[in-house]
Amino acid sequence: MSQAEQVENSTITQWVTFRLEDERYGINVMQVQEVLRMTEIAPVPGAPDYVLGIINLRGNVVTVMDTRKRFALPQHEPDEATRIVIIEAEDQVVGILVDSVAEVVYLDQPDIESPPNVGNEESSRYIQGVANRDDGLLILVDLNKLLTDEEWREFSSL
Amino acid sequence: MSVSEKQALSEVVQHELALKVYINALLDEEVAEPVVAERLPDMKAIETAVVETPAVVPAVTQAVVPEALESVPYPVWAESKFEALMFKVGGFLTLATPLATLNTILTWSDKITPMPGHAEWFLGLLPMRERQVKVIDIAKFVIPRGHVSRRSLQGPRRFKHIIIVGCGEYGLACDDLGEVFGVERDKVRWRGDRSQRPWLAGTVVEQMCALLDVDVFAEMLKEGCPVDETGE
Repeated sequence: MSQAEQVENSTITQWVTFRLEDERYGINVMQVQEVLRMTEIAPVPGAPDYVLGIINLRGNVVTVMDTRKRFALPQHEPDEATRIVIIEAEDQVVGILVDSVAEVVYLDQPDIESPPNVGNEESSRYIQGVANRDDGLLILVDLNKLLTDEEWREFSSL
Repeated sequence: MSVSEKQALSEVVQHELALKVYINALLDEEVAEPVVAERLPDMKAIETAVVETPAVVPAVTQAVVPEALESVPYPVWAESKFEALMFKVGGFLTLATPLATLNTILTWSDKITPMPGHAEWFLGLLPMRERQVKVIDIAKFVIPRGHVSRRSLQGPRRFKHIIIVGCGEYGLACDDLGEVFGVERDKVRWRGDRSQRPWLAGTVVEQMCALLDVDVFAEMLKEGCPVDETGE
């Protein structure tokens, strides 16, 4: 049985993985629309600091999120590997800037461990779980919880 | 002495003073005294045990416990003499954890994965024996954010060991390991009121170090400890 067939028939899920700083993150493949090379991002005056700006995607305006800022990581100059991942979350199409995009991985439910849940940091709600891989830990991100409801509303009005 | 040497010396002196203030603050807390101030009915006829000023009860009278002491919440592991491991954190602060709650000790690993969106004292996850250990920067956890000693916690840190405690869920990152020493219950200044800093069981007077209550510490982390209970 192919992996695709396994996905259809079981609890196996697919995750697009990307890098930020030295860590690897995974997002549900069903929410990923496309991956773009780095392009010019027009800043939006008065936007929250986690908003890099907007891009023109085939005539549509897409807001791009500064994922490093959101994850409280230091800033990083974009390079050849930098990508904008276009995702759909909370009924919006947005872009998230990442250092690089890697492979799509298949994870079975037992492979996914619950998130650390240490302290009561509200911002850690978007970590859906972790998966121990040969090449290190994969941090699974719940895109819908990347922003609060209020932040998503603000995002849509930019 | 050059200007920079004077500055360095001043910083060292400041550090030492800050440590003294911190330890004294722990010792000055209102606690139930492990002493006998008057003769108790069950006490053996040791006349010299009657004292006018607070003092530690000799071990021979340990079986006699004043009623007030009964309500002092000693952890279970402190009911009789116990062994504790000292360790250094933040470059200057000495803590101790009872061996009874010690799981294992690891050399510092670069396999720790930091987690975004977590408290600064949470260093990340370390894979160990089929589970993920949550590694805690215990110095940042216990030292209040506004405390002058916090300055030494800024910038890159060099941990040497991870002390895995309890059932292996949490690891305490430390600079150096100290000695293992035996502790009599009455050699610890226990904290009666633990509404603030419940993770702090008491102070080991002779060694002048804070004694961690690991079980309470783990419980706090599980429940999602409020910010004002940590160093933040």
